[in-house]
Amino acid sequence: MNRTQEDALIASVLNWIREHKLPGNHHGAEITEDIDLITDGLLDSMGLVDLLLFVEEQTGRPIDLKTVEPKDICVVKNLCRIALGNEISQSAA
Amino acid sequence: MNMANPVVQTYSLLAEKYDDELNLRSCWGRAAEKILGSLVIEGDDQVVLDVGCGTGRALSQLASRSQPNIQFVGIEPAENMRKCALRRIASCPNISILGGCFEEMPIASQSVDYLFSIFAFHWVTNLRTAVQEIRRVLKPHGRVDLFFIGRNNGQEFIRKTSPIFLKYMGPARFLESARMRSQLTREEALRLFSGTFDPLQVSVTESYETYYDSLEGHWGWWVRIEGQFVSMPAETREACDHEVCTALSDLSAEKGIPYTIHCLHLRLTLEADPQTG
Repeated sequence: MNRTQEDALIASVLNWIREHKLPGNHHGAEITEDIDLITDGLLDSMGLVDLLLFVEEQTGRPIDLKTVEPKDICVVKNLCRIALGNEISQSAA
Repeated sequence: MNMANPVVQTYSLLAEKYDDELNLRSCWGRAAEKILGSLVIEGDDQVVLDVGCGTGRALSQLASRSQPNIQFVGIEPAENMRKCALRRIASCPNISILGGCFEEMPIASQSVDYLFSIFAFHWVTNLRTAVQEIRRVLKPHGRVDLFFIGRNNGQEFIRKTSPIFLKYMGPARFLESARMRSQLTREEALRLFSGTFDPLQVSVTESYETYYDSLEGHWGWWVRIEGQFVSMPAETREACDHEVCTALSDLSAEKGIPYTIHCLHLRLTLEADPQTG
């Protein structure tokens, strides 16, 4: 696993979320790599579509949605690992 | 949007329920009625086109308050909705109903004086083609009023229901359902139409209006988004519906359960080129 690459992607994704999060949601709490973007109301389904496009552009590889669980794409650190083709550890899931 | 689109199929399946009292009294029914009351047919209009005309409700009301020499045309992709519309307009010789959609209108070029649409444009799957098609059918001095839902529509419901839909539908179907809609921001809508029309002739206004209703009242319009769940097995659907009902009940306040419609109103007023008339 390339940690530097993963950390850089997480930072880019968190910045993207800060710019594109839904208005009026999340009540100003800190946006971290562990937050669930849907359950915590940061993004809706259309926002998630846009985020996946952004991540795929960053990595240059498509994410196979048929093989992932909700938590794999809604939690930033999981999403970034999947996007880079890295394994999600039990503790991360 | 083609006829095989799940949204079109769902509207077709539910066509007979579309004009139920519950649906007409819902937030969408009330919002559509308000928009209908604001539409203006001008004295020299010859052809008026409603795209996504549904069961023909708006067309028949407009025709009843207009001169009988004006031709009203409705375009609707869902076959059973067209059947309902044809029944409604059976005694109106100046109204016709055709199969088609925003991206493919069976209408002669430069033949429409006034094109309007109420809560249909957000179902368009190819936005650029749709805008070019609108351009094609309009007369050089044509006018357009499109009312459609914007990017921030129904956020109260979305916050409550998205985790549930994601759980039951799984990521692939959940995101596929999001791709069925084109919910634009005001700025995106302005950019889209300004790419094909003179930006000076395009205006987009937006409004946010909160409607309160009972759970039963809101459920009455749920038919409009059922297209997203066509591929969900019946037993899963039942469990999903149950959780959604519970989640929406949590929103209940003194006035009822709120739902805020983010409506974009795109208006185009073309001016004929003095050299071509």
